[in-house]
Amino acid sequence: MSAPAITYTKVPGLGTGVFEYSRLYVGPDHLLLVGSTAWSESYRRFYFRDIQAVFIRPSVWGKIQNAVWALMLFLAAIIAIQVSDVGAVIAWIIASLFALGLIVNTLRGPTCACYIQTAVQTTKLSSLGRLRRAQKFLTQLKPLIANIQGTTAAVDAAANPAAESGPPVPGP
Amino acid sequence: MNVTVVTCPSCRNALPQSLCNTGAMAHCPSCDIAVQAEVFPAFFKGTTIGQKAETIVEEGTSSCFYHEKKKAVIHCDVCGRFLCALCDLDLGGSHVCPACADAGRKKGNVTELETNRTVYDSAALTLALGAFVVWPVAIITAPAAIYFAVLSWRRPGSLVPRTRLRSYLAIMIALLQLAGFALLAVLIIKES
Repeated sequence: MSAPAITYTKVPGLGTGVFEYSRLYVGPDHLLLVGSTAWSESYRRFYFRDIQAVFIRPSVWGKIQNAVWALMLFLAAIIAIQVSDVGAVIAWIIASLFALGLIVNTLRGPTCACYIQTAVQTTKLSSLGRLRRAQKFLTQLKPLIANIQGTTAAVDAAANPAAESGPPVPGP
Repeated sequence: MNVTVVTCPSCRNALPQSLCNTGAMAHCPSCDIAVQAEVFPAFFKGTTIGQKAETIVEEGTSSCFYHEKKKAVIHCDVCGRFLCALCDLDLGGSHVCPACADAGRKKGNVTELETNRTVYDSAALTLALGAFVVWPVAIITAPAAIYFAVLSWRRPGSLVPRTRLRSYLAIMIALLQLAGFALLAVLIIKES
């Protein structure tokens, strides 16, 4: 019963947990959420026909990260000013690494939480932690779902054909 | 269309329809959290009821292998048994009976039903790198890492595309660790 191998395309982004990290892949008719540990992978499939909604909500996590980077940079700079010679050079190198972290985190843009809803579950897609990336992914996902489910406009038209066709035109 | 309500992922209160599918952030009227909601037609369809198996009314009609009073509509693509509409499972376009689906799930040869896999190349790399934390255990973990790395070439790996880099890296690190131990042993022997 071995089926041909399914081709998956990776969605950029990595969600990290304590002992697990997750990545998202796009298959021919579903999304695959892969949770990886040191020795195993777990799989959750979201078929395009079953996806009911996608929610994106901005989060403050990016601002917290920036605050931590800025605090570390500040402390390293204070130490660099206080000490002299080799100590100052080392402290400035460390401070520049914190500055780099702050710049990279700022350039990656605001953070968000992205959720996918089906009839039986609402799951957080932790690999889509950046707002720009999540919105770009949603733009790519919408036509894939529309190919299978159609559009909500079509559902509305089917439910209310009178509204779609407009008011009756009076005869001559 | 069913009467269904889109709820805010933050406060679980109803989101007005006008805030959905706008392609931009909108503020939830209840919690004032910004949210972008994209709702798809499946949301309005509701739960679909599975097919009912037809009862045999004419004599001589093929019956389901599992339900002898039910009319067969298709055969299992694996074992060939006749199946009624209830027993027919659609797995990626092929029709299988519950027994074959269960057997396939247990053997791990139905990809659509797999929910986890052991990835031996990752295990090998973890063992190889883990030995740096508690280095004396490397005498055990290094051969184990090499074994798992070689095993990863024979066993089914990840469902998603990945290279053999992890296994090669694990073998390289494990060999270096074993060489280190050999060197240490030689030095100890020379010293004594």
